[in-house]
Amino acid sequence: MKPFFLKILLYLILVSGLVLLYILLIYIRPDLVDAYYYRFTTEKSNSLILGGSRAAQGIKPEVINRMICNDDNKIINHSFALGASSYGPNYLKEITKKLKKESTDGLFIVSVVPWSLATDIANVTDDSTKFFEVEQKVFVGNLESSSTNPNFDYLINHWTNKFEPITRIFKLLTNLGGISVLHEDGWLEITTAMDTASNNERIRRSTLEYKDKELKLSDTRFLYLDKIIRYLDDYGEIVLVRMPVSSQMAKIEMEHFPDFDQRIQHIASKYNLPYFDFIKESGKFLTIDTHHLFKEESERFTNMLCDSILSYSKSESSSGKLATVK
Amino acid sequence: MLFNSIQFGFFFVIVTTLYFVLPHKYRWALLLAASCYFYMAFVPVYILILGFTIVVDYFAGIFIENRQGRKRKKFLIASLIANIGVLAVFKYYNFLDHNLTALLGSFRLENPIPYLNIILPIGLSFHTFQAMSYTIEVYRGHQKAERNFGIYALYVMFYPQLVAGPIERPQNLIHQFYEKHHFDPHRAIDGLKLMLWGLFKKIIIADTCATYVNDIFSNYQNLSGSVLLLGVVYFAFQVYGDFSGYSDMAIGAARVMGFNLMRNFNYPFFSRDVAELWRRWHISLSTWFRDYFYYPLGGSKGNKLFVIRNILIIFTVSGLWHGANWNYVIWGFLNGVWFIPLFLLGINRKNIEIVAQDRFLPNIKEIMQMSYTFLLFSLALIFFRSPSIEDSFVYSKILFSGSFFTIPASQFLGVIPLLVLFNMIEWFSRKKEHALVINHFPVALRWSTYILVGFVIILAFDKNPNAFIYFQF
Repeated sequence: MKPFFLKILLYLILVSGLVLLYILLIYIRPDLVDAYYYRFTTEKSNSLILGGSRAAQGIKPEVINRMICNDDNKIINHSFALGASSYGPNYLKEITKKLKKESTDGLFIVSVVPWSLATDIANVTDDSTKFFEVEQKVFVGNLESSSTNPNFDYLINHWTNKFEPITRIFKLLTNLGGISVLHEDGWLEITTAMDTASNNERIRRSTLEYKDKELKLSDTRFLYLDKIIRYLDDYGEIVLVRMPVSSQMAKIEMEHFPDFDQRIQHIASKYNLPYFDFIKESGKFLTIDTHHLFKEESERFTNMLCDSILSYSKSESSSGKLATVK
Repeated sequence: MLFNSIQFGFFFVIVTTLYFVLPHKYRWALLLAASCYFYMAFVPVYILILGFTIVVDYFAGIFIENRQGRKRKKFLIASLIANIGVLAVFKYYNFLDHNLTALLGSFRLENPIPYLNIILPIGLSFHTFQAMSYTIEVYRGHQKAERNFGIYALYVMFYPQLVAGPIERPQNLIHQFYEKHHFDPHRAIDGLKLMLWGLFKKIIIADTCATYVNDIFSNYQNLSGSVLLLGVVYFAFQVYGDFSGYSDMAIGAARVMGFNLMRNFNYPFFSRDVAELWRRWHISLSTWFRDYFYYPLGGSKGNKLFVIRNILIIFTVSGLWHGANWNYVIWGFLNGVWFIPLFLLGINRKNIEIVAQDRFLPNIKEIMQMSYTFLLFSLALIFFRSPSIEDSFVYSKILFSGSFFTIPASQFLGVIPLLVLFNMIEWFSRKKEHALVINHFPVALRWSTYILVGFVIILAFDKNPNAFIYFQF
């Protein structure tokens, strides 16, 4: 009997040891966890890039830090995805957790996308009370802390694929298949399989997914965008950005949301914010699936965005705004 | 309470410890109480249905044994009616009602019979069939009627195999409740290894495949034929991992306490023809149908047309056993159709021993045979998985369209390395009971394997575990 229990005990100790080693690996390399986790392990910041997956992949903090922000005020990308960081109560909560509230000279790049400011016509009758991210208890806004390493709340309650680090290490070692690398500054670098079948499949899925969506712009989501702007206004300067997409996606968005730009313009005027609308540049940037920029294009786009911000800060219309930047 | 839940882990440890701590005369009572608790953890009230069939069959068994001649048959029939009646009400009533509504509707008539708003009791088909095998065996004189009501109830309710089998025979199980089991460390370790491997099959193989399968089947109209083919292949692995994983855990849990349950799966995907596959897949159900339905129908004793009729009946009814839905009926019928050519050619019992018995690898012919058999089995599963017959046909149509020859997008290929690895492990284990029988390995390699399996299970473990597919039957 005794050897049996000793064997079982030894087995449990060894398995637990391996699990602890795995946690240690995650502690050392949080980027291996998935496409979101690293952002919840880094320190709070004065300056944030906000939005969904387009911003996560398409706006590089490194470029902005080089061209605009000074060393004491580095910007990080805290954008996630449509299903996690649509403008709503959760994202507002998340922003309050990630923002270092010690200065008033931050820079906030708020990426606006119609899909993340819209609501499902078929499923939601009263969009003033229903937020899918609240009902689904998504991780954004729901973690005890957004700047802890290791972040056990995320790892235990929200990590869906715990084999991801093994897959990532395998892919990094063999250079096989597409991979996403989340950088410390929050930029999500996607290297994807570019075979024709995969590319066509992504484009086909994306076009199908968005073309037939029955959405309308949501007053409540706009209200939360408004709340977020008002909240951030105390801590620095805000710029609104609409990123370029493929010409097909631009057309779909125009058909679904013809008055979107007008509404954003209205908010920009209300708070005297610059609104950089790059949707007219759609088709001039390569995308991986009609709306996420290729990683090389992210650099080009962020440069263009920085130029726009810098020209604005020097213009008369800025009336001294964005003066805090480099 | 699912086998792949933390609750079950605690339950198993507590029950097993108490089992060996208690004096032998109280052990059956402990197991019965534990089994009641296990079953009531799903929907408590349904234990009354189980209680009803247990009471009926307990007395039917005694009456059958005590009577002579035709009276014995009357009690058997009464018992069968009670069991099938429960199945009919809880499993098939709404199905029949729905079809009657459709039939009368075609004549513009209204169906006066109301629809019942009931949930199917978990594992109903399993424990009902196990209960029926008891009265049939008593009637046939192969089993003495059990006088101890608690032991009989435990035979029907023994928790490891209560909700998804293996469907045991009374001759194999009842006497084991009277035997005094001493704690045997070797047997316990073997049982734990089997449970570990079952958990691996469920959590790693079945649940991983499930994400791909759900994605493909819910979006099949927009996907290519080649992806749909992957969908059915993945589903075959999902069902296998899910159900054989459950069976392994059931057999393993029972073995730790000293009970031997019958084997339910024997590497079915290495079958060289459909007949062999059905001798290796869900063995306890196949043999149940063979002994209690196929033979009484006349079995293979008759002309070819008669036997073909019997084959089709058996497979179709076994399809219906799975679910009250025309999809399952067609699935069963199709498997019968796959079987018939083997019978006509007289080769349905050609492949009895495991493939490549004395060799390391199969030959080309065997690879072709196994692939062909697996493909036939998988294609029939379209009906098993699709939500409706219409969906099944549309799925099949797209699968066999020109897009069958396109290269599937890489996002659907991620699980293939895992399945290849799994198949390799299964191949090299095919002459053993399960893949963790590796006593011939050096100690370090053996322990590394156990630790690795435990580690990946912990990584993939979900605190909200996925239910087993066969629970719904």
